Amino acid sequence: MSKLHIDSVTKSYNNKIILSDIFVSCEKGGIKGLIGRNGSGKSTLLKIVFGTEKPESKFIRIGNKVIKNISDGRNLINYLPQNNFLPNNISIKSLINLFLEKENRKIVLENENVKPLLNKKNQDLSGGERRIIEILLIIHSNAKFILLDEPFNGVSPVVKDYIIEYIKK
Amino acid sequence: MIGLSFLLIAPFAQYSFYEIKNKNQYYYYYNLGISNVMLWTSTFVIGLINLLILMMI
Repeated sequence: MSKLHIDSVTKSYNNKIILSDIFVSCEKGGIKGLIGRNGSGKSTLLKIVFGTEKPESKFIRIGNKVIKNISDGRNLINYLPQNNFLPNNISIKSLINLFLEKENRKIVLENENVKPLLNKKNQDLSGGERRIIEILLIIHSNAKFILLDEPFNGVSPVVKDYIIEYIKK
Repeated sequence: MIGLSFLLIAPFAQYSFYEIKNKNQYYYYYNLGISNVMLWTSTFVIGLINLLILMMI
């Protein structure tokens, strides 16, 4: 059975220790939340797990595979950053087709929130519209574990409820 | 000379567009399992291929 195992994560900035010996584990299908004040290191921890931030020490394992960098985590772990990450000047339809495997594309392409936006480009969308597309892309990717950093950034209360239900599904 | 400029233009375009202006867009490629090193390598390789093609013309 797949299990995400995060152990011994230590990170400091300018001699100030932000993360010290963090341990988190999560079963596939489980939902874990990180709660903390601004600047307490939540996003930093997620970036370290994903592989885009370098810590002093870390041990990340999914099943039997040790994740040391982004390439190791391919199809195992995906990350939704706080801010918009979709490239500009490419239609949403193309972005979905490039990002998702064939079997997962249909679900996103036929989603009621995505359908009207398919021929638009990233820069023509509102913050909420972008966010919902990003979340759907990450959720329907082939990754076994997904890390969502502030998924409700810039979304309306109605969309927020929709996202919560979607994540639970 | 034109081929050599391609070798410089491609990395310069990537640096100015992604590293300075739209750094967050790297996450689209990271989520596909493509690291920063791989993206920079592909930029240099594409520049090199352009150089070779233009040298042969």
